Amino acid sequence: MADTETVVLETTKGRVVIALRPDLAPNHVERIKTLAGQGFYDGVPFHRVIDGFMAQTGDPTGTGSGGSDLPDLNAEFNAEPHVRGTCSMARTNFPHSANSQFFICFDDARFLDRQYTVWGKVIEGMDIVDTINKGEPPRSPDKIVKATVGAA
Amino acid sequence: MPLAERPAEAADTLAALYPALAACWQPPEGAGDAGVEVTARFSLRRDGSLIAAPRIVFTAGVSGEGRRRLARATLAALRACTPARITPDLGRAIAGRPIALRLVQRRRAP
Repeated sequence: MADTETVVLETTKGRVVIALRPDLAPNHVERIKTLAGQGFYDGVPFHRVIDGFMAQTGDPTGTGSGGSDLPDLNAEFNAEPHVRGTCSMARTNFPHSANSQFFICFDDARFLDRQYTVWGKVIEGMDIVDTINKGEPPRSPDKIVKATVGAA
Repeated sequence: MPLAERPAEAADTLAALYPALAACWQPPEGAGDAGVEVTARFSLRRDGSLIAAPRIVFTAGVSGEGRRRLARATLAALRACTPARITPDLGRAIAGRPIALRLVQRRRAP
C-alpha cells in the first residue's frame, strides 16, 4: 500500500495521529485536509466529550452548531464500523449537513454505523484521546493546538 | 445559526434585519441535543425600538423549564438588540407591523 495520508492533531494533551480513508469518504477526507491546511482547526476545543462514547471537536464557536465557510458536505455513509479510534463526521439530523465538526470514538458505537460518515482512524495517541477533558461542554476544554496534514 | 458578529451597517431590508437580531441570540446551554427553534412576534417603531413586549409564539426542541429558559433568553436578546439599527426607509416600511423572527440552532452531533 502506498503511503497512508494522515492528519496529526497536536492537542493540549499530546499528539494524535489519524490515518485518512479517502477510499471510504473522498470528499470528507478532502474537507479535513483543506481545513487543516488552512489552520481552521488550530485552537478549536473538544466541546463535547462523553466518557465511553466519543470526543467531538471541529467547531470554532465551541457550541456544536458552528462550521466552516465551506458548504455542507453530502453524506458519504459507509460500512466502516464505529469502534475505538474511529473518526467520523458530526452532522445535524439532516444527513447532508456535515461540515467541519468530527468526533473520535472511545469505544464501540455501532449504532452510528451507516448514519455518520467514517473518514479515518486513530493510529497513534489513542491513550492521549482517552485523557481529553470530559463534559458537555467540559469545564476546561482541551484543544487542538495544531492540525497538520502529512504522510506516515 | 448565531452569527459571530453583528453586522456593522444599518439594515435596509427585513432580510438584513433578521440576521442582525439573530446575532444577539444564543440559546441556553443544555437546550436539546438536536438543537432548538423559537419564533418571536413583535413590532418595531420607525426608530427600531420595540413596541410593547415581544411574544414567544413557537418553540421546538425544548419542554418544561427548558422552554421557559429558551423564552427568557430570546426575550433578553431582543431587548439587548433593540433599538435595531435600521435605515429610515426600512423604519417607515415596517413601523407598527408585526414581525415574526424565527431563530434556529441546529447542533451537529453523533
